[in-house]
Amino acid sequence: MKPRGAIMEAFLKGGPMKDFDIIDCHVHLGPALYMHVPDSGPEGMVKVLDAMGVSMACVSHSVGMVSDWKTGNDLLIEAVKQYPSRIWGYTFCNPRYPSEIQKEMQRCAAAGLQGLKIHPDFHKTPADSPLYDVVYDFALQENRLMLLHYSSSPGPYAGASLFRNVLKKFPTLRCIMAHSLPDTTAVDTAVEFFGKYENVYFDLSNAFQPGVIEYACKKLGASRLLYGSDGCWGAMEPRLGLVCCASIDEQEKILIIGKNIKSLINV
Amino acid sequence: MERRTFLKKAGIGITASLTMDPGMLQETAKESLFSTSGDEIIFFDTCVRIGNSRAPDPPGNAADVVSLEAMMERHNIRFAAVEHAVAMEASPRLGQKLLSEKIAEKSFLWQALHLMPAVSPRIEKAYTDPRELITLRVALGRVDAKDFCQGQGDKAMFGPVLDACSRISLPVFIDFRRQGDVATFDFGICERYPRIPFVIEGFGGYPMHRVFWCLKNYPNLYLSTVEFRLFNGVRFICDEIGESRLIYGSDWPARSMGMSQGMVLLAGINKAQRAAIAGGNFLRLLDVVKKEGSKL
Repeated sequence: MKPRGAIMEAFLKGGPMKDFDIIDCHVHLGPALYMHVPDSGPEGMVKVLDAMGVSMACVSHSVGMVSDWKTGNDLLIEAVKQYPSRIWGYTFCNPRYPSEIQKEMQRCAAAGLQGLKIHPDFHKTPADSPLYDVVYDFALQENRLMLLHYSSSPGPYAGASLFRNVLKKFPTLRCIMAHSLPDTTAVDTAVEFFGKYENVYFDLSNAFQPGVIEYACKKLGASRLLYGSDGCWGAMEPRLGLVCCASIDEQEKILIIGKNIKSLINV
Repeated sequence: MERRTFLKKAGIGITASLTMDPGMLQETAKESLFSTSGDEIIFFDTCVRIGNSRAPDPPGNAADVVSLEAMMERHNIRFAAVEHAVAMEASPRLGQKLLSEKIAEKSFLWQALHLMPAVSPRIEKAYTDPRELITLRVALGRVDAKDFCQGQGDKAMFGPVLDACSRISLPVFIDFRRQGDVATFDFGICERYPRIPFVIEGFGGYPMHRVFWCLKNYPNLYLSTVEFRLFNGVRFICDEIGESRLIYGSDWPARSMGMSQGMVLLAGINKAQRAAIAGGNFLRLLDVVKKEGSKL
């Protein structure tokens, strides 16, 4: 077992972990009816970030995911304006509105949302559907970072093999595969499907299997891994605890908790 | 920290044996928890397991007392209530026997007893004698939510077991990790057994409405941090219900101890609240067990 190291020591002392640069690459804002999320607005989010010592959250809006995408994007634009140094935004792109999607991406980009997010499951559109091509094209043309809702198991909309098709078609897409490494099998899949694409990153928001972070560091390298919590669709704190307590080198933890995503979002 | 030093710091002698009065152990634990110096919060983990479970994930992820001790030391977990895989998966009695042998010399480890209904001794002798629970150094009982008949366990042969728990106010953890639905579970059991602290374990955090109502209405109902992943959830419960109703547990080795620790250590709550959730609340419950046990 590796020694605790400074990050785990700081974690065990309790938050806020002020001495480290921590950025969460995968966060949601706002309500989602059946989830009963408390304090899901920007003020509540920033309070949680402060308590943990997280300097910035990369956020998409839940309303844009589960309901009206444009309303969600509007709410996120307001949140980014309110907290420009704490909230970095992903525009939600809904391919079910094909005639409007280009315009919406441009509108949100102009308003300050720098990233793009897709959720093939909620929007019931396979990730490799031509309906999404306009989004991938936009991301490439504008060099935008994409957060891709991903499932490591086979699925009709967001399964790993569908994203493999996407990367074959758009090999230089800068993207994060969300909650992509729940277990060692998923890591093996990620290596097989995406190992050669150095522009593809993986968040650890569901890396719950003991030892999977250590395994992912060996197989994919810490430079491809990102701390992401999937909050407020879940608690942000346990995901950070997972990384802080993993048996990996201190330098690897530093990359995962913030350094990698910092270089991707240019802050 | 070397194990012996760690134990010494914890105020625990490593030669303690099963013959030690359980009340004394609880007293020692309580003193150790609150006499700690420095900035560290000391934890009592109510949910750890040893033994070779049938399908560990990942393969090979089995724990013994040695690895448990090492992990507790790494995470500053000072005390734990341990369950044996055999108790959970095959036979509570056999599992308890195996566990007793393993932890006999470990005064910082208590037994977490898997409860089964008192159907018949021809199946297995249920734990219906409170004296036995005290003798075995039992910190808590655990029932699967499904086996507990969605809260109707007292109407399905758990009655004598619950009576025994009630006599000594032994905490009973209702385990939702594998099966059971908190939205439909009948927590009216809390009213029927007001002397038992019931603890919801393995509730993910969504949807919150049913659990929230029950916590507000049943003062003897508690919530474990095992699998509890409501956004801002710990602070929310502290603000709306009170920190006294949260109990720390990790579900190790199935989960990293750091996950549940994160819920406590990184939540926007004060140090006293963290200490209460980490171990203080559960030790208070154990103190009641000690007092009630001494009356038997």
